[in-house]
Amino acid sequence: MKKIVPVLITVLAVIIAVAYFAMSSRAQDSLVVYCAHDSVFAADILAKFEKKTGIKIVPMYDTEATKSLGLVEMLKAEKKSPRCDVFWNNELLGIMELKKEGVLEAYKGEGYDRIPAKFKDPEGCWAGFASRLRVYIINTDKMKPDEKEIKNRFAAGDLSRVSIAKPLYGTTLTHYCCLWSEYGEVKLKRMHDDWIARKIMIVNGNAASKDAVSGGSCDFGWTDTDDYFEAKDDKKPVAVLPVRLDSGKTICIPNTVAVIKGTQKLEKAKKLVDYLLSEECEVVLANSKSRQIPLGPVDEKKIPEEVWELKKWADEGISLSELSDIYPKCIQWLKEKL
Amino acid sequence: MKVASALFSAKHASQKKSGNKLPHSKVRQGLTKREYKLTNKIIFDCLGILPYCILVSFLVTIAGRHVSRFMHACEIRGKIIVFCMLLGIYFVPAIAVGCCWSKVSYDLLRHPPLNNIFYSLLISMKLLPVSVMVLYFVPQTISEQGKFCMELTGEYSKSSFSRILFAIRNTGRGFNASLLVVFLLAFSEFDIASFLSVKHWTVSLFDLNAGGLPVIESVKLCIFPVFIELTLILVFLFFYRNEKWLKKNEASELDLKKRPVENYFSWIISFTGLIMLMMLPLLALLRNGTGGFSLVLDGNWFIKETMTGIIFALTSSLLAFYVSGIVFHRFAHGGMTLQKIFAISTLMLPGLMGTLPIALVMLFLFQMPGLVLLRDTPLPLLAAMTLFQLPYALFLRYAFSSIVQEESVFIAESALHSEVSRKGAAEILWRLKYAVKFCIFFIIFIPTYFDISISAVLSPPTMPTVFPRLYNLLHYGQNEKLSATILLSVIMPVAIFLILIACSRIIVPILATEEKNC
Repeated sequence: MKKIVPVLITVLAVIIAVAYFAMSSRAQDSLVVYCAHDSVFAADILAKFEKKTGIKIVPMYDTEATKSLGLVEMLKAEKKSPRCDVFWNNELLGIMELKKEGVLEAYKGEGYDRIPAKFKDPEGCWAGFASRLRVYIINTDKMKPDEKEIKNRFAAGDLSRVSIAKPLYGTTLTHYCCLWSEYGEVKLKRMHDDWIARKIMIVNGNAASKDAVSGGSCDFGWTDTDDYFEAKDDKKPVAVLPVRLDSGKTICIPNTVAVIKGTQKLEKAKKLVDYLLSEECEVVLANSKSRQIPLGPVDEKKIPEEVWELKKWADEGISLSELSDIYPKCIQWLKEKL
Repeated sequence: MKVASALFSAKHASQKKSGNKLPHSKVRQGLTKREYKLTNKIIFDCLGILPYCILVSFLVTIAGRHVSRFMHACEIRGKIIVFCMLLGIYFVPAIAVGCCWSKVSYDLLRHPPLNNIFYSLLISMKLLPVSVMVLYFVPQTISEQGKFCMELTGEYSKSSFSRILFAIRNTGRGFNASLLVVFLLAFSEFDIASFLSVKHWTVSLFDLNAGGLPVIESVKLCIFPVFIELTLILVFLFFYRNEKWLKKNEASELDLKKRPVENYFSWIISFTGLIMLMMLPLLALLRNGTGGFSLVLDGNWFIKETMTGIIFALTSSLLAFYVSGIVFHRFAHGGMTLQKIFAISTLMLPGLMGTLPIALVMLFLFQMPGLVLLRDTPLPLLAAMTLFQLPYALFLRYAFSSIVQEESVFIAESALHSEVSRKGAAEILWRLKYAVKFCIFFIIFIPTYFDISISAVLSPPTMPTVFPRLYNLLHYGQNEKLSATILLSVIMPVAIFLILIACSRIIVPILATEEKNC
């Protein structure tokens, strides 16, 4: 045993080293892509890009379990010696933060041009595509899917049958930042305290919020359109309504893409950015199970009808560009609060 | 809490007095204020979960004691069945348990204490195999005859207090080791707590890292929980530093016919654990259909990422096992001095912080100028995994020490050279010497293989492991691909475990012969 263990360690270390060098040499010319979008959908798109261009991709996916330290934090930490070439984020705030930190390289290509100004950085550091909406998911066995009914429930005393995800990360954090922007700091804080006092159910994430409603533990809750469609595809008794701010605006959160400053593969990175911002990519994502809403002009016939319906709501979305100043204050407050 | 808030108000008062003339001091004050708030939050959550962890460790150890006594006393068939049931419980990853039971917890969330009790119940079931393994292998400090003699002297039955003291002192290292290991595992548990939305300090630490936190601050937040863990370990090491142990586990003398409760209890508790932590979660996964298997096996990522995960976990477990052996032989023999205890605690510290802070610290270290070249290699991942396992490996080494019966081992090793007795001797040798080491190895291997934080942060981009991918698939709930991936990724280490057990009869003579020749 005294000799066997070091021998085994050496053998395993050699296996790891050989595998590492083999994979690294194969991936030497590949683009390293940090991808916060779900691998189920992103992998197909990246594979299509590889096939089309011959450029190999090494993806690193984000996970539900590491979302707090996630890819944005990794990119910040790696700023001095980046290993990532392109960042595909599934929301906006993180990428705005990276722009502030000087992590992103400006690029305005053909993909950038087709995206509406509201969903891209004027300096070209990032651009949005294929979005999701913040929505109310409603259990139709428990209540009528009606905006008035939701208002009444919020006005009533008890909120223990209303679910929201922990607003510390992801799209719920963006939602809170929108509320901060719309109502101001004081009113949001008061509102939040009031919800907590009335026992609103805070769950682990948007998928959990969807599960709590579709399973009947809650009557309605906040989530994203992709989670709603997941419940709908499972034939759960659910309906959807957009979350509207007092101004009547909806909250539309796009995927975003950016080239990382300091990349050694700039030309390849630009090609991927253009591909992700293309109509082809938006159509694929609109037809996927997550039904992402295209932001640029697309052929209506190529888009499912239910997604086209959502596009009308998405067009009414609030501008998210002011949220970058709110984000650090909001998250700091939430960290202390929750 | 009060101390921090008093300090906090004092600082606030001085800030008012000075009129905040220096802008940078304002920033510093802000940081201090935030640090206090965050630290208080962790302390508060630690204290909140502490009673539940203590309750879990006592419940599990008491149950584990019954089951281990039963396993010692029952015939081989019953022993194998119970062992397999416990193994089944231990091999089910937290993601499967969490997915299955999180829906129940939505109804309990309105009553946090009930949700905490439900969580404690699940954790108790999950940790029962660890307790049984510890209690099965670690001998008692006093024999049944010894206890009887104590009772005859009258000392034992004087008062309830003296009975308790006697019990603490003499139920032995096994009972206390089990208490401690179960407590440490429950206290540092993250996955199931997160799925069930339990207010656990590990979940809060994770949340506080949202939007980024300087590494030093993340580490500072761990001070209080690590202090609790380390204190308990040091007390254990110090308390049992010079104990002499029985060389034979007297529990085998238990007569099951006279103790039917022990018998029924063991079957019921193992079976309940198996249903709650293995069968129901697996059924929930299989309910999504079996179509996912072809989806998973078609993509070449699954085999690659699972094998990568297994090889990294195996290598780091062997490293931790080896290092703990060296440390143990250097430090534990000849009694524990303060210097030795200090050295051991230093080695244990990083691992006790939990996987997230270790991953963050490693990431920080491998961003530094000299080390950045090694950042994308497997080195940071292996180092972090080994550091995480080290406290458990060290502690289990110590708890299991001196249970090897040197005389019996010598006879068994001698018998290995005879053709007639070779097979039997190998089996005896396996049970006497290697099963314990194998047990330590697997206790530390499984949590590392199932780990998410270290792998997600430190895996080289070209060598991802399977569990971060599982959590990525989780976003869309329990689809058939996720179900198939979880099932297959659990089957792989189980298969390795069974193959190793089956090969033990071949491996053991080789190990023994090699060792004898040394």
